[in-house]
Amino acid sequence: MSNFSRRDFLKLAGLTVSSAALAHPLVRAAGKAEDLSRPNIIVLIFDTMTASHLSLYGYPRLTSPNFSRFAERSTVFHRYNSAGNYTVPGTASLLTGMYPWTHRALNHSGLVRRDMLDRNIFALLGDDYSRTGFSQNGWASFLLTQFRKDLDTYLSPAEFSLVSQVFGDGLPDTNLALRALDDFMFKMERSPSSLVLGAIERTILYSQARRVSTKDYPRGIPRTGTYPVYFLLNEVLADLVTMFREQKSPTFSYIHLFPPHAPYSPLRQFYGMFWNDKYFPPSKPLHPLGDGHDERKVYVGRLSYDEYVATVDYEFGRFIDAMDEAGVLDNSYLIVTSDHGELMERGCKGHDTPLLYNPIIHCPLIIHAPGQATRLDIHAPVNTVDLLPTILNLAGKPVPDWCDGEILPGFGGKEDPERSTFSVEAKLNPAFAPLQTATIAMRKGDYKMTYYRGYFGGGEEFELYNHAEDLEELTNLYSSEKAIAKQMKDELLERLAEGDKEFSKR
Amino acid sequence: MSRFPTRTDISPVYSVIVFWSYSYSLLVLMFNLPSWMLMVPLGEILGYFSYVLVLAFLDTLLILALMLGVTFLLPRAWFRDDFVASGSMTAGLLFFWITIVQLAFGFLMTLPVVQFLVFILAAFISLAVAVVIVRRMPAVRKFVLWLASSTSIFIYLYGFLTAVSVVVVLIRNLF
Repeated sequence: MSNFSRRDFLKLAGLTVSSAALAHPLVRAAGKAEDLSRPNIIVLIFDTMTASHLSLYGYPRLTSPNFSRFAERSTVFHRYNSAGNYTVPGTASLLTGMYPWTHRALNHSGLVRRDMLDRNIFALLGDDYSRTGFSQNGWASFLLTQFRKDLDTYLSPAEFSLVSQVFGDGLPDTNLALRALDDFMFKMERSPSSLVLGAIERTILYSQARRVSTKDYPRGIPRTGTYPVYFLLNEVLADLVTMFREQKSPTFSYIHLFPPHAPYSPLRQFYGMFWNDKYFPPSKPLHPLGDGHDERKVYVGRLSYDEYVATVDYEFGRFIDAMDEAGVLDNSYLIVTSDHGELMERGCKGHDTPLLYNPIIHCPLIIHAPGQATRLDIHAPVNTVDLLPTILNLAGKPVPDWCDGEILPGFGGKEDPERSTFSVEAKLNPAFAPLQTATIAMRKGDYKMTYYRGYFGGGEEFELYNHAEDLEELTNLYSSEKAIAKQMKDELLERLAEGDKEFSKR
Repeated sequence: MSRFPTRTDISPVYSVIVFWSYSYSLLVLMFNLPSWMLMVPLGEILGYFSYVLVLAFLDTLLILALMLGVTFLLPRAWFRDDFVASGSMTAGLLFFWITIVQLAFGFLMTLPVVQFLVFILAAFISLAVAVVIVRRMPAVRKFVLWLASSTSIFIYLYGFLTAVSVVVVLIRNLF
């Protein structure tokens, strides 16, 4: 009995739960016949992972040797931008294939507009795919619960965790219960609104969390930012490999992991690894819409973030090895990406900002096809909204005409260097009103235009950068390159007006 | 004779508990309301209200049960015989300390064990002192009784809203 490990327990528990779940309508996949002719599709999200801090994409610090190793047999997208600068719009665009001005999941803990709930990847894949949704990030989990009827298996944010107290997903009214109970009544990072039960819940959680050994984690065990969920990334990933191995083909799995989102909790071996590396990023001026942190504080934040990215990379390497060993990648597309990036410059330290500079929207996108042995690099601009049509194409499904995205080059689509893509930030704007307080970035060719509306005392500002010459976005060309500025401005405003059209009528 | 107070005595004490618990929960909810109004339809905002009121109701039941438990355990003369004044005073002060715990939870959890125990002891002593004060000082006693009487309206107000909320939560989860 002493040899009965936690892993054995998980397997036994998994078997028990699986058996019990066979009779449950939410786990309809269990009754489906296996079809090996169609590949599985796995979308693996690392929350808040910017491509700008990965050595794979040219970052001077060696933060991602394992992502680079994986890239050697994958398709690497170099100009992949997120459609939003934080979880809600980024994830909603990925799951719906629409820009934020259409799906309207704009605000903190926001949701996709109710009359568009059938426009999601799970519904479009249909019943012939077994569909699983799991997010450790509560806000992404809200979106999954919106689409719960289209999921065969919905996994709680607390799944695979060490210590957790998530209440809402135990109730049939999951979406509102998660938001009302876990994101409000018992929210971790502020005083819960339930005085007595909140105090009891916090005390129990705290005493449980104290019992977890932190010897390998100098900054504490990894945990989600707002939900009371503590976890070990290596165990979560190992459990996922087990899950993938045991699933019946064809499956579609959306897996949204919290790291490297703050709080940054690196493994001991990565803690302090960049402290003396003499790398200093280019100095950039404070932005009036930034958080106002001084340069030293931002630099320390960058060090901590990079350590956590290196930790994620290390665990990702072990995950890929385990996936190979289990044979999962032989018949699976593995799409590795992020919902948005992180900004460690201009007085910002995080991503709760109206700014849309490159590191906050430039995300990694690496896709491994079954049996792929060589690397393919794609430099055309692509966007989060392209994942839905690409996945549908891989699954042999038609792409709906309302979709804003296009099939990715290398997976049935064509490279279009001059295509326009967009990133939208509007967390302070009412979801069901025209975008009056918003930042919109437009990417076209080598150029990127950023439009701030309503932030500067109600006014507007434009910035224009040439990424071929100035990836750090230090020289604003808006006044000097008037022709390209006008052309991009007209197109951006036209697309914005189109997105707002329905709400402007009200 | 029963070691528990009569229903007539419990009512004003419970009204103080209800007043404090619901006021705190609704106050926090009001701070969130503007952001919800940005993005959530009215029906879902009422859903939030329902969950908040149901949990606030459970909070009040827990505190009431705690106070009745203490009444049962202590000698009658200490608490039971003057339950309205002593209970109302204790309930108010207890909520004050729970609010302090909530607001300073992170800080309290980092205190060394000795200091934390001193904090807990101070809370208990303040509760005992409050009971003594309310008994010895007629002006305080009068004020506490007036407060308990004045807040009794909230039992009816929140009672109705809670009943509706329980139904809403049940319907949302059953159908």
